[in-house]
Amino acid sequence: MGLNWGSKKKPELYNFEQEEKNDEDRKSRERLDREEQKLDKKQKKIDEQIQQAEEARSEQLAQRLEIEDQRRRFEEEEARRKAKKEADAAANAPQPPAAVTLKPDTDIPDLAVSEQSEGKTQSGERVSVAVPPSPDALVKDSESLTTETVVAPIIGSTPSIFFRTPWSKTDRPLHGLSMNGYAGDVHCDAGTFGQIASIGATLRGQKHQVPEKVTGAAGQNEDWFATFCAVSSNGAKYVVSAVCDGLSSAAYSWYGARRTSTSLARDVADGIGTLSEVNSVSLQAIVDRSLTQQAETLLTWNPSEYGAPQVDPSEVDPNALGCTVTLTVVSAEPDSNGVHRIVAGNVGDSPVFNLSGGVWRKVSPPDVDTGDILDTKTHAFPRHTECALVDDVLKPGECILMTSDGVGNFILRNGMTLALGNYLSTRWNNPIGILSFLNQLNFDLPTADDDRTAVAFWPS
Amino acid sequence: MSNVEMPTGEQILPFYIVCDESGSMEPIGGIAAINQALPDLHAEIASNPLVADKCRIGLITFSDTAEELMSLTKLSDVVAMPGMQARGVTNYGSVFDLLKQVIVRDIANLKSQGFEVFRPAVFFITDGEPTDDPAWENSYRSLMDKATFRQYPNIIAFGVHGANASVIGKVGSVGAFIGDNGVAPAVALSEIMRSLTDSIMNSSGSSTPTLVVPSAPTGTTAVTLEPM
Repeated sequence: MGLNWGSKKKPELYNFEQEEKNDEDRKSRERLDREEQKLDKKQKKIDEQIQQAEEARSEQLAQRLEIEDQRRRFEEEEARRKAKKEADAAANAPQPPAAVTLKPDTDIPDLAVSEQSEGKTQSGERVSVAVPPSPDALVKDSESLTTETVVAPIIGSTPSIFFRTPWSKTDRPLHGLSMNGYAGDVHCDAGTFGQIASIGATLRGQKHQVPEKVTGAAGQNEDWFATFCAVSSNGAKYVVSAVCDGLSSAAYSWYGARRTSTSLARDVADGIGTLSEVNSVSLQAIVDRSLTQQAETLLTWNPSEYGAPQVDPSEVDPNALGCTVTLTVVSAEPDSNGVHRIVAGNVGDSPVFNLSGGVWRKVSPPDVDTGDILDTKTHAFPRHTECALVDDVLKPGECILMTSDGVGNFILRNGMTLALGNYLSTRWNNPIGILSFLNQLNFDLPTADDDRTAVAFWPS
Repeated sequence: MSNVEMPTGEQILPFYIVCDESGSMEPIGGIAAINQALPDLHAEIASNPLVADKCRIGLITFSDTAEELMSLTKLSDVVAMPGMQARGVTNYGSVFDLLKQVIVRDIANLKSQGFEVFRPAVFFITDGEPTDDPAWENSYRSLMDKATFRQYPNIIAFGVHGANASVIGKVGSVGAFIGDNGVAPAVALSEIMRSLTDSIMNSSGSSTPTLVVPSAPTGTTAVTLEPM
């Protein structure tokens, strides 16, 4: 408070005292502010230390798992070397003249006679027809040629021929370029939005890496995914992701998968902007409208535009772009119970899983019991546009995982966790490094040769 | 439990090549044609790591009786293919009975190793009419009854020389082909072996393994299927 020199009233001592008191109050407040700031700084430092400790713990766990992996690979390699040594020793030992057949029937003599290709001896007995040596054996010679320093996890009992063969090998090549581009060997999107961390990746499967005999070129990744961010009309944040798996029988399914996943994720993200309440009911109309419109306008590309097939769309059957569709919407902020709401749905069989406490659960679609026999029949867009949505939740410590069947088929089968599911259950339960995610998605397992797509969501 | 001990879910496509070994196959050059084609089939399949891993091939012959010449096997593990030998008559019934037993056994065996198994496919090759007509039909129905035998196979039937088109149409459940008049049976059989090799390659080579039924091999014509 200042003095009023223009006033006739004599300044009073009381004012000075008040001023002094005010000054003390101000100093006290400043002191308290400083102390609070100090505490804040200290708290921040402690938080940072806790975070560092948690990161160190995660890193240590990852290193431990990696060491276990390396140990397992070393033991397998050692066993293989030992077996090879024994086989070599046996091969070098004097051999009886008889050849080998597989038939255990005692009526069939164990004789291989390559010069008698009609399979009959002069005495009329059944004989074997000689065949060239297995290329599996020939490939073993190239093991030392591998160019990889990052080793993908081996899920099967033995490494596949692909695993043992350098990608750059040009005699009997296994990894060809695509004749028309867009091979899609690796595509990855990772990042955070709100309180959600997400990594999505798709890898071209071995099936589409092997060059055709005629052209010498290979195929394209027929999977794709797209991840978008969305904000509802009342400001709530969401992550939207769509995974599409092109049908192998459809000539342009690689384009159908890329176009459909991107269009659907974008349409749903846009649609969320008009909603105040986001759930399976409110999203259903948006998804239905998007898929119906896309099906109607599928054949509208320009062959010269980026990413489009180099063919006039009027010459193409819409089903030649056939693909499965899987959609997941994750609320980026937890609700009052600390859980993230999710909405998921499918056209076809590409699954969405929940990983909780090392246990996989299928969120959608429901399992169909086909008995002993695998059934490859699946619904696919654009022939089908029905995509029934379900609500589910993502709790702290859990993971939501969308996959194409090139991955999902080896995680969980009719409720039974398979070897890959077991392997990933301790690795994808928390956010992991992007390159580690890619490497683990590149797992080695014989017959798992389809394109692979996985999109993971973790709460922070 | 380590990964190695757990089922891996590796996916297997079983194929059975069922060949007529009756005495009539010898003079028409059928036995020689098939025996010559088997190493080619082996080379084609075993040289493709994707196909070799995914498909298993069994070889069954029939005449008076049916015989499992080569049990369901990964061809890259095979060092010699068994050859065929002409003998006896053409009893269809015995081979359908044997097929059912073998399929049940093989699927159980594969599943016990942690594999997932696709529906088996059978390539049925004959040069004659069934000598056990119509008794063979009961064996066939037992093999193909979807209600009582969920592991029923898909059958592609090929007939040459003296085979009856109507019977071939009954045996084939997803495809049936009969040799054209004027085409040497041995030539037609060579084409049939080439065609079934392509079918195996294409079926195992697609992203989602499904049986790819071949178009009519050169020297043959597609027959209308007559479901029994």
